[in-house]
Amino acid sequence: MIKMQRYSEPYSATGGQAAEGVLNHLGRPNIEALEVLVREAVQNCWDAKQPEARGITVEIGRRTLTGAELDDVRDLVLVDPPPKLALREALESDLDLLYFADFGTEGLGGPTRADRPGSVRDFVDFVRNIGQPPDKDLGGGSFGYGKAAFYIASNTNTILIDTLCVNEQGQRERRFLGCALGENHTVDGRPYTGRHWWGRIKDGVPEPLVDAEADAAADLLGLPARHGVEDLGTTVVVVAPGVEPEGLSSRSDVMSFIGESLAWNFWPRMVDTPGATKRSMNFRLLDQGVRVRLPDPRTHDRLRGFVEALDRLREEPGVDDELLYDRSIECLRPAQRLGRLVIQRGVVAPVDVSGTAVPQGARLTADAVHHVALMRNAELVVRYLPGPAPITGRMGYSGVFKCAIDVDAAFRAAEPPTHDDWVFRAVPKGRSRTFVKVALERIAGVSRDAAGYDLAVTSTAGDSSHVPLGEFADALASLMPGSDGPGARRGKRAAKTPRKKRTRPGQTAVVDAAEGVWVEGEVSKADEDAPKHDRANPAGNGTPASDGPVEVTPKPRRPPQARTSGEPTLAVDGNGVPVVRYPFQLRTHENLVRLTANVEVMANDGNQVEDGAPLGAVTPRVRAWTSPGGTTSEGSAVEVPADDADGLWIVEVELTEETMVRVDLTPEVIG
Amino acid sequence: MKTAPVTPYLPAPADSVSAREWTTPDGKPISDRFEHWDPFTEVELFQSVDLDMGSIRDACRLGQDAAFAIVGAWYSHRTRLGEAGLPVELGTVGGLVRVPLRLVIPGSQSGGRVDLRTRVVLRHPGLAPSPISPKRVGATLWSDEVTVAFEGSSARFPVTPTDFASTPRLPDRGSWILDWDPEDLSGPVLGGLRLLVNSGDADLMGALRTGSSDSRAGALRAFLRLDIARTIVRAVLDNDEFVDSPERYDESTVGRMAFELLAMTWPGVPIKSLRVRAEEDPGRLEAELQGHLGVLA
Repeated sequence: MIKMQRYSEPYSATGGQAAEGVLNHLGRPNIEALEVLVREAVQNCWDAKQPEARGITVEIGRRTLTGAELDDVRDLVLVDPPPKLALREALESDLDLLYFADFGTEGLGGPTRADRPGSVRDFVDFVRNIGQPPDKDLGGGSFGYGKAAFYIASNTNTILIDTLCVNEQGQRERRFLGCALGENHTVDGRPYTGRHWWGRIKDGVPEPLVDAEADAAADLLGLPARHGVEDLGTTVVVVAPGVEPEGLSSRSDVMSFIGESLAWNFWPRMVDTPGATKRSMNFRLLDQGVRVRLPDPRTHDRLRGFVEALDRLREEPGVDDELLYDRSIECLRPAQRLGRLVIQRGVVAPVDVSGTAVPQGARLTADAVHHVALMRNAELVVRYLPGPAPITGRMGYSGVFKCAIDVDAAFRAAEPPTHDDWVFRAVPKGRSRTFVKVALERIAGVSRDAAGYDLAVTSTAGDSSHVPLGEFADALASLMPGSDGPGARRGKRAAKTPRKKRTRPGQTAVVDAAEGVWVEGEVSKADEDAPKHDRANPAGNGTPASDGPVEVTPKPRRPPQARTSGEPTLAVDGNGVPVVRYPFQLRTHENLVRLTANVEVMANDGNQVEDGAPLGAVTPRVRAWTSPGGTTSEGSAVEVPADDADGLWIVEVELTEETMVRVDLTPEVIG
Repeated sequence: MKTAPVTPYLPAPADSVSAREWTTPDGKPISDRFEHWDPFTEVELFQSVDLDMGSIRDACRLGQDAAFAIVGAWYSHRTRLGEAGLPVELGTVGGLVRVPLRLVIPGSQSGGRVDLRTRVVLRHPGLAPSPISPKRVGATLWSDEVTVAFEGSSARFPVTPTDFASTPRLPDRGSWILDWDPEDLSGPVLGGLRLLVNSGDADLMGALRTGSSDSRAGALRAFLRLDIARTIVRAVLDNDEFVDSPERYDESTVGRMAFELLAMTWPGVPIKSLRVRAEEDPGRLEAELQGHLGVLA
């Protein structure tokens, strides 16, 4: 079995950067630490995308190691915890791991030692060097400090790296290494920087485990498998993460916070714009191996406005209307196109009153959405720039600004290490600084318009012959007592609250009125003839009444009656078939009765019977009848048994999709 | 016997959504009628709706991933036109939610009785709806409707804004004129009589417009009312036909209207006496009219 070795970095004769300094690289952003981690981690993944790949997949998972698994980690992986690192205590009880695994990326290739040459230097840049500038054009990150977020997120400042890359020989190689950034300390009189690695020590340098050994170590931790070319990429494991936002108690809250953070920060790459751009980031979220649902930005209550604005931005510029502002943002001196801004106005989303920790974007827009999502060409949200609150207080707006590709560098220069703002003062004086400043001013200007500040008076109010004078005309009405007019003024009677109508689709006043009224059924043809005959000739047999003994005229029987009894209900029957059950009451009046049901399809919100079925449509049919005694029979008609007739019946009709149906029930006398 | 029609899916329970009254932008609830409406009034209404998303999901047997929206709409029985407002997307939000809805009803398209509808609709059924759950996007799960009268049958004085500058016989800088023929009192009020106000006078229009905050508006309206009343009273008392038999005019004619105005202002006083008063002591007649209508009311 593998057993890793720990290496702690001593100070060299020429000095070196203490590990704590590295941890300060991110500054102290005003974002939840977990959101910073998610942003930085996914941005790193994006920057590692294979140039020819259409998109990347990122799996974020959380695992808790206990028992034998934990023992293995303590004995074989993170062995011999160094001083000034909280690792030893963390390994004593259940150990949480939070990992970010990317696929469709390049993996950390190149030499494993910083002092070896090689054109690809991903491994040394990520594992050995601190603060390397990126070599990706139009990438999301630009400082390479993102990796500090992983160390900060760990209570033990320890991470594990598992990568499948292509090595200098052009072969796939899996590499596994542990890293930690502790405080500087002295052991036996020798000062150490606080940087530690776990791996195989070769020539005095901690090298990663490779291939079979790396596979074994990754399996031991339960990390995603990496074998084929499609598995190229990197998994970074945060050991003992300590970034739960305050107020999130349960673990599932933490995972849904991660889901929300992904949505708020990466939605532009999570959505397809029909006819334009396909999604390029796929996320999987796993909690102890169980899939966690991710919010869909397109139906998200507050993100959907931004998504729609981006849809528009991805199309050719079109015509503005009252609810949509599509503007090219330009700098006039020096003349330069800076980007495009699309703002969509809309009714504000529901207020979020939960008070629990939410991603920054959700927090900023909690009261109302009047923001513009700023992004560079990487299409990762830099921040939600608030504009003026809308005048009416109810029409919010969501916008997207994407900078032009030839000024991307200027905006990148305006970003702090956390990439969550554009600060024009951070850009050296010159054209670039002007561009950022002007763009932000122009965006604020259009936001003002969208908020309704500079809206031209509406045409109704602008044309003076169209001035509303109803109130004045009503005031003059006292001059014309007794006359009628079109006014909706009320006399001295108290104002009534408006009359409410139906609350259920298909429910109309007519239906309500008919509810529960007894309706008489039909008398069969034979029966109909018989009484007539009797009336004409009471004897009923054609012989004159005077000729024989007078027969007693049978009292005409009352026809059977039926009435509805309560609301129809939807159900799934024993065979898994969806059905509608219509309850009704039957009175046979001692007739022998046959019940016939005709299913009617209703159109126009239940107001009209559809008489011809569309071509190919399935007509819903009666499935079953249930008598008061509980006997069930099938078919569209049923002969009512004499001993189980009166009482509550149920007729069951198969539910066909998208058809509103009612049942026309006829009790018919058959003898 | 015909049963009630039933939707082919489970609707939301009636008590899972509670829609408050529609209000004007200043938060005042509208009653069953909207006062002072005219075709140039753009009506802006708001409604606050509380939804229990958990109860809706449970009743419709939909999962947490089902998405909803709420939308307001209006329909005018007079014009038979209607329109939906912007939907508020509720997305996959859970728990208790309060949503503001907004409707703008253009005056030129509405009138008469107006239905205001609120609907909760399905946006996405999620991955695992039950066979009897709503599945069609846009399915109505809950709806509520109130009817508000924008127009009714109460009296309203015919007022027409006109640009005096583009009307030959009217002075450019005049303010108003009662457009009628005092010699023909048997014509109908609506058609035979109207007040023209000069739409070229922005100040005047600003003070007269519905909802005006101009401090002079109240006094101006009272003065106009008095001036119109005086114009009518003076003219009809000068009309021999009217004074001879003031009760000859049919309902809804200008003559009947003038007669009732006089009868209300001077109850019990014969028209002939009023004519004498108008000739001999016109000042008193006007002061009495002021007393009845109020000058600064």
